[in-house]
Amino acid sequence: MDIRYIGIRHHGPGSAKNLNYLLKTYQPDIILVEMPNDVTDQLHFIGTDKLKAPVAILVHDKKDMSKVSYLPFVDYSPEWQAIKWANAKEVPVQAIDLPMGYFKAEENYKSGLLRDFRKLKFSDPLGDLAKLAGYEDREQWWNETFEQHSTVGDHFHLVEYMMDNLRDEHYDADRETLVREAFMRKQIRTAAKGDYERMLVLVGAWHIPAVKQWQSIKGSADNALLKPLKKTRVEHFFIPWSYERISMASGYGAGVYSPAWYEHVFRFEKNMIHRWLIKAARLLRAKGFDVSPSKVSDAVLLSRQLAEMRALRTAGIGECWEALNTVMGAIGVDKMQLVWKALIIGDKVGKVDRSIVSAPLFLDLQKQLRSARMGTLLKQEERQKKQLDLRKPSNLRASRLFHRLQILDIGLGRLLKRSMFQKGSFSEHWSLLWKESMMIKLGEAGIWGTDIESASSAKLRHQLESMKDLGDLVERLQKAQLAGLSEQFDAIISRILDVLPSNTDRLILIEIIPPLIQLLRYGDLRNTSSASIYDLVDRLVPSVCAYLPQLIQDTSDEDADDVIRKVQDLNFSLGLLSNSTYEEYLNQALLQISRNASVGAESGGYCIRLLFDKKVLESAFVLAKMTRLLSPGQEKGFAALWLKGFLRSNPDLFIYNASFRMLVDQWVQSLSEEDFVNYLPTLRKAFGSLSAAKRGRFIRVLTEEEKKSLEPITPLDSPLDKDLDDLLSLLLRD
Amino acid sequence: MSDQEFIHQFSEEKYAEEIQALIDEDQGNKPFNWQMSPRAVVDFLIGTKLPSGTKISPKYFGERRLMEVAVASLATDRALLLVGVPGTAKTWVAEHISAAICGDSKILVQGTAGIMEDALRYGWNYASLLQKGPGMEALVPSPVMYAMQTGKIARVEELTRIPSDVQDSLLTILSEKSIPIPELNTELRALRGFNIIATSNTRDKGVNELSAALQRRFNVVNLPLPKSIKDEVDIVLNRVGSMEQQIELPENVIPEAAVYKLVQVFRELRNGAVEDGSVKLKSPSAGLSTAEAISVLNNAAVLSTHFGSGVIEDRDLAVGISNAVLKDPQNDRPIFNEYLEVVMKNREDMKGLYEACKQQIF
Repeated sequence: MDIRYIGIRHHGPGSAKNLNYLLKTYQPDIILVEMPNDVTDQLHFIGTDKLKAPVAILVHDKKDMSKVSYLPFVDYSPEWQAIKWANAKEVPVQAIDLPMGYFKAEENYKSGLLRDFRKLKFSDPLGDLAKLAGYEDREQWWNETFEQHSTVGDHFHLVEYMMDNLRDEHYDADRETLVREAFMRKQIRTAAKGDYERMLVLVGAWHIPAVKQWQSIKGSADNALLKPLKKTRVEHFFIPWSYERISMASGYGAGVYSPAWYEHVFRFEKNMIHRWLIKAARLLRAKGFDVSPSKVSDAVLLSRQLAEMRALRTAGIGECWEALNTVMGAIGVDKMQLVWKALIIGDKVGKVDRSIVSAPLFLDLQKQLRSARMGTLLKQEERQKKQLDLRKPSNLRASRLFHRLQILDIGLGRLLKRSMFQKGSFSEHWSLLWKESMMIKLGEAGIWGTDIESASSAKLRHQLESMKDLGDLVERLQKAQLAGLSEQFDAIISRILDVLPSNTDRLILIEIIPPLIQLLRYGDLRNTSSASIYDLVDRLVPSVCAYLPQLIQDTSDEDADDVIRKVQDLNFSLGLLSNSTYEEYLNQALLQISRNASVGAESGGYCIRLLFDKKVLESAFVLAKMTRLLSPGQEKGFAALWLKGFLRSNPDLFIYNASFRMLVDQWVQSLSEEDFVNYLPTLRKAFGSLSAAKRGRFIRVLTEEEKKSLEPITPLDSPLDKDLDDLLSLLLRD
Repeated sequence: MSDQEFIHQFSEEKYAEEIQALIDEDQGNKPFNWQMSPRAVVDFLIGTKLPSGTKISPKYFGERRLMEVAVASLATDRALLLVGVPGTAKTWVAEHISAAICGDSKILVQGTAGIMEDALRYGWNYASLLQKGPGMEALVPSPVMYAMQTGKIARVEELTRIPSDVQDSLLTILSEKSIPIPELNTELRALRGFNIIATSNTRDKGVNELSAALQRRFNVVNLPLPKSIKDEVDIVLNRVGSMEQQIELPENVIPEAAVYKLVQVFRELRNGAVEDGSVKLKSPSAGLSTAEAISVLNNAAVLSTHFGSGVIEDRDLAVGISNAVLKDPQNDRPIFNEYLEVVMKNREDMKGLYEACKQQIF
């Protein structure tokens, strides 16, 4: 029997290319690949229409979903190419690396047989070699030497020779590598007993010298090495994967930095650089940028010149990228980012046929959607609109499901109307679309749990630990309610109480009270308990009211608008609770503000008005205050802003209260032409919120007044008149 | 001449030895009319140690790859446009590249709003024109024309400040590599090796934006602000060191700690965040470039040498920092004050500087 050892790099396009050549010429009748032995049963899918790369095999501990690994494949993974070839030719394929069952068994790490990657510092023989060759890192060197070029032929002899020398002389392998290699040798021995003529052994280059010795090293020695290993039960299945994931270098077999670029290298032999730059130019043109052919040829020239200066055989990714950037000039970073994402990283997402998916969260999703009678959602390719009536239990369940998915970062549903919270309505409008890429996230989200409810709950809990921002935390609280995860309320609230003392942003405290009160109000609708939220509000309200005066005093005129809006919300929300203690706190704070002379004009006006509306201040008092503020000695700009604040919540007052109206009328008439022009916009804004009907009424009142300006004024603010007015405006509203 | 000292030494004079050593030991391919290979030019900029042991000092502190792109552009016969915010060493880089490639960094056109076409093409010596009539001897070549005649690099500073119609005269020069002289019914053709390095300021964007036609003829290299605080401190130390000699300050006037403090303040205000990103700040209107940091230090050095203790102290720095930051006092003062109170006050090593700055702004 003849054996060929092929040293590859996972996801190396050059390795894959040369391997394809070798498969054709060598025609092996059995192929062994370096992959965990226990995934062998999945390999027959490769090359069939059930899978479209990039995909990954997800392996997890049967009992503990959080112990998970991914084995990603792309089209140009040498393993993928070899297995595809083998499946097509019906040549047997075996995975010969140490089974994942060993890797997931905690005991093997405690006993030191396997190593914890996170704690280990690698010796880096290839890196050292790269440095000798004058490269900054080993990836770049390996790329340039073995993967980048389209020298079709057999570079594997070279790799083998190099590894023989490296392993021999300079570097000792660690324990885990030795164990894995013992296992691989064992598999080769078994396979060699079969009736084969040409065996191909496909392993990471580093392992070749060790696996070659399967005859010279005794089987019993390897068995002794493997004997102490413990094994646990694992589950594994294919999930779709994406170039984006691959580029994040996660999991087994190392990611690659530039998946789309590698695909390009794999697919094209001749004029690789030209083709790539042309692709980039076409992409930019599609985005509305003029890229002339001459620019492309300039970029080709420049990339070659750069390669020569850097003593490279041909231009690589760095040279092409820099050349493109330079000839394109000031095109803007965002546009170039587009090219980077499309042509270097790539947006390819793989596909796994439903019939072979067994990711627990996906199965749970299917089940839940079916029970909400939305099972077809997973098959539709168009975006669906769906209205959910939360009073119906099945709809409430669906709503919670979509919110839970959002916590897991899976955007299956987008909530269309956020106003729902304010209006307290019973319905939610969702825009729903299932995308294949969500399968990836569902697979990954498996680390949080085996069903969507427990997974989202666990993730929410986990996120809390790193959260410091009060606003974010309250948002989590809302989210927990929407998702029906009220069991997390206590945890979130205790986190809020933790960060409260170190919070220096006083404004945020005002901001978080309204959403908290909303939570209390709508808790019943969503069947969530809210006792602990009550305690939190109870604790926050007094302290917010205590420093409100100082906050308003510190607010500059530019920020006043924003702050007033927040006070408005606060007042409205506290009103909803009809808790007299809270009201009293707020009123005291407002009174304090109204007495403070250094408060900004707009905020001052607003507070007075609020107190007037709440019947804390009497009309006579307010009139007196206003008379003083609108008197000739007062700076006009201040008065205008004060009026704006005063009229903010509701300018109707002027329609039915003649005394106020007269005051302002006099003030406006006292303005010089210049001042009038200056302050008109401010006043206009103040009255802008009046409805058309009310504006009409206001004008009528003013013109009538004009007519009888000589007659004594009749106050219009009788309750009867006000009611009539409201009735009128209701009737007039379209 | 030799016993006179000039304020500014041209790169090819100051680094004559380094350039000679690079030429002598150059192994790479030289583009036509270049005195050294592109790789040697980059070595000259970034600094290295030659096989013979000659040390080439670094002139540009930043990524080597960026300089490679700039030099490679010139080697592919494309004109080079260096852009960046003020104080990112555009002119500095242009000067050293010219010196390394053709040993002459003096062929320079300073772009201004009032510049005329003759500064890029040619003018006439009217006395000669009247006496002898039109002829080559009456023609006064511009620096660009001179560079074409000699196959050297011409530098055009602040390209976007040049009015658009004048910019356009660069079009034929860059695409045809020749200047037509219709008055004499002839043209001047550039020798190989001729090229143009232009600089332009991104702050001036939109003043006289390059036409699409002209933009097409330039390769653009964007010079970024220094990435890390260490890079920036290195730049400042290096430049200040050479200035120290120039204005004859005693050595050790500028302690490294002062440089570090100053650069940190500038970076944090410029980036609108403290160095570790934990606190967000507002940025003042001033650019606060590396170049400005250098001038603040020089200023402080002079202050302390002639009027102070002889070593830069916090109060010497505070004057310069406040002046640099408060370009628009109305708006910048609250921003600076916030920085002082929120950031500086809480740092042990900046207590003194905090006090000094406080005195400056009130």
